[in-house]
Amino acid sequence: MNKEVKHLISKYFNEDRIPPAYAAFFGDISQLLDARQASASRLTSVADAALETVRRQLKDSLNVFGSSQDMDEYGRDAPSLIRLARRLKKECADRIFRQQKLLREMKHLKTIQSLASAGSWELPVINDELQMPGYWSDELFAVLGVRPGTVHPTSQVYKNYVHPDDRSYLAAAVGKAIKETGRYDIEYRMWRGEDPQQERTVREIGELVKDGATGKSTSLIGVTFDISDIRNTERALFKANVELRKLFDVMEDVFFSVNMEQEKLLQISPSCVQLYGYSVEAFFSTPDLWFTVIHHDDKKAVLESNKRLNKGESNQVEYRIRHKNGEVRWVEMRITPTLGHDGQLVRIDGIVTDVTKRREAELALANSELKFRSLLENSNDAITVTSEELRFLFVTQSLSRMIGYAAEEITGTSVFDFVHPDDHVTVNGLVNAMEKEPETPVHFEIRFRVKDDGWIWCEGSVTNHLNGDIVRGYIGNFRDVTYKIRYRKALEASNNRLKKTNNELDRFVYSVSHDLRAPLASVLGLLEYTMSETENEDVLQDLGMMKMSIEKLDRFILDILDYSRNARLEIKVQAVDFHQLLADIKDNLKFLHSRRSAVRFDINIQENGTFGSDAGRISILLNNLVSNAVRYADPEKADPFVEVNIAAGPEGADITVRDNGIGIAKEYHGRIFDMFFRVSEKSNGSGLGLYLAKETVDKLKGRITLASAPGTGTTFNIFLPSLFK
Amino acid sequence: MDSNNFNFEKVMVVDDAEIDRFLAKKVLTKHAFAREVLPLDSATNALNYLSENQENKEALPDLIFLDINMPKMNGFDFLEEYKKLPESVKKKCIIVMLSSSLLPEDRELAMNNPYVCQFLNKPLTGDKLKDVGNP
Repeated sequence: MNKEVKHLISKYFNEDRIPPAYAAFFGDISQLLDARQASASRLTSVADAALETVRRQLKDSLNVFGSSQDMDEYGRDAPSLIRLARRLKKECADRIFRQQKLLREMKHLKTIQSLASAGSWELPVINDELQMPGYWSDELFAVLGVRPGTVHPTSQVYKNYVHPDDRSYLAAAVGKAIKETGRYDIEYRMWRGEDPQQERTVREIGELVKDGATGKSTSLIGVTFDISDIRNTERALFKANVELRKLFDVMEDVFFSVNMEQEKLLQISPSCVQLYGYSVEAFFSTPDLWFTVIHHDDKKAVLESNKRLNKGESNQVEYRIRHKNGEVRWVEMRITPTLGHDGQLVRIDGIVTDVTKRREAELALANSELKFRSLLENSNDAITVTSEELRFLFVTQSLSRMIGYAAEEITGTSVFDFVHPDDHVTVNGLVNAMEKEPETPVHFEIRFRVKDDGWIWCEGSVTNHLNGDIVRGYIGNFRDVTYKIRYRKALEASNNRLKKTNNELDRFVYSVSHDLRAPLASVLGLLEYTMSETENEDVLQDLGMMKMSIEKLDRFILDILDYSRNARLEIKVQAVDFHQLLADIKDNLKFLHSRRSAVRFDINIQENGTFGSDAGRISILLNNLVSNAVRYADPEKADPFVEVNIAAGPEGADITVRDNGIGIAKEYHGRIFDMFFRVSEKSNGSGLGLYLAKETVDKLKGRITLASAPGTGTTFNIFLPSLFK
Repeated sequence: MDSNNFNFEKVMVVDDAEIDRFLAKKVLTKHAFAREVLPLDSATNALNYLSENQENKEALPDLIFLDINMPKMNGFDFLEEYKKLPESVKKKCIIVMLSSSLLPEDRELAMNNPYVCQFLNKPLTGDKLKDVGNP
């Protein structure tokens, strides 16, 4: 076979599959070409018929390609046939090439449609009406969720896949495109596989194709693609963007990045306006602005700490800046460096945060801590924290000042090393008390060892804070009270001495009064006995005078006894039974003044509730006043009397002692309560009676007044408050 | 007064002061208070007497006048020891405190003692005797 023909076939055909007609044809051509090469002249003599056949076959073949119109140019001569053959060859080659290209493009289109979830379609249009059926690409079926070819590609069927709410919208867009605009581009919802659960969003672009000659619409061609994923992504992106924007808007921190090779600011976030007072533009136009605003005292430290960035270590530094408005603010800067391949610093990214408030709070805290500590250390009270095992965990300097040991010497040692051996039992008692009631201070007085100088007394309290939040342990605070304790001990001793003296005095008064009284009583008894044994008037008169004298002495002793008791004895408050009290007084009168019992003794008592006072003292008081009334009764009066009126209750007692005795002249009223004062030489009292009455009333926190006139009588008005609390 | 009509058969007077024992005896006799007065000069002797005669009902006193202030053993000490004597003794004897003490404490202490039925202030007189034994 001719080489050229062979080459042609190999180039454009699959040699094994050349149709038989073509194969014969190619054989003929090959022969012709070979013959021509052998002898052109011989050829001319070859039958024209054969050439004509070849020519006709070539023409028919070319007709297949639709290019027969100019066939007449080619003659029956060999060169013409060769040209014809060449043309056929070319046509064949072109066609094959186009077919292959088309195939390739179809493949691409299909792939593209599938990848893009984009289905294409075409519907015929006649008289501005959509016709059925049309063409749906395989991918359109896929978009609809059905297998290609399983449904008819009509707009009626298509409608079923469209979301019911969007059907009229789609129809309107299509209608408008056909009648007016010629194009539409809309989005609508689709129910994939007619399943409402599989709702998708699609975008559809349709374009009207018109006949160039008539200007009439011939078809509507378009593409429908599933954009659900895109929309979802967009929506998510939008949301993320919004959130990011929000974040940026509220973000007070300033972000920045710097290209360190060119020392060029790459970016800085807009929050710099709030933090620094300078705009983003200001930072870009003035590269060292960030450094300029740093507080003078902090500049060096910032630079120093930034050096670590060169080693690839991130840096965090706190410093002060001066805001554009003049304020000083504390910021914290955190920088992450990026090193290049050669180990050089190429870029830094950082955040600057305003920490003024935190810093101020920290400073305030540190300040208050400082104050607190200084208070602790300068206080005269020692403060200690001890463990449960009674080892000192913490002691203040004040303890060192107090006992002479350094805080370091004390810390870690046992409490017992510093407490007087006699007080160890006290310490154990404290621990027991604290265990019973945690967080309740327990008071103590303990002797502490002083370096090289014996012991000091410390007074204070200790509290169980073993379960405390901040400090765990027994917290004690105490002070040196050695002088106080010594003073108190001295006071106690002297008080005891006084008490003893007092007791002795009391016993002395008691025994003296008794020792004096006993012989008087004996003499008095004998006198009375003797008087009852004799009828001799003279003797009786003498004995009577003796008796009076002894009685006077006896009363004097009694008064002194009463006085001493009133002055020294504690007030014994109890409910006072005035009835009993006055009955006793009446009894006393009978024995002490039997000779004058002619005086009438009237008693009126009104008790409304309980009156509390010292019954013993009230008895002394009333005894004195009543016996005075009896003693100084007016012998001229026909009916001498003494009348005691008492109205007593919880508020107090009003007492009047009234008589119609000889009375007291006005000028003596001011003095009758004085000690040893006697109105006249005729009065045979001790001069102690009314003094004692007044003293007693004072002791009972009451008051006493008198109204008296010679010849009329005397009235004492007394008020005593109830001493019940 | 009928000399056979005595208030009490036998009255003991316990007092360290001779003059008071003497006076008591005179007054008690004069007012026919006691047929027999038994003066004893100390609480110890009085207790001894009571103890020795605890079985002899005739010898035991019907009433005892007891002084408080006495040397060695005072009236209250006597009462403490008296408590230990057999019931037979205590049942027969009435005790009256007779003292020159006017201290309310003494009176109170005496009256709180179950064996003391009365408290009298010295001196002992005929008037005071009227109330003794029938309070």
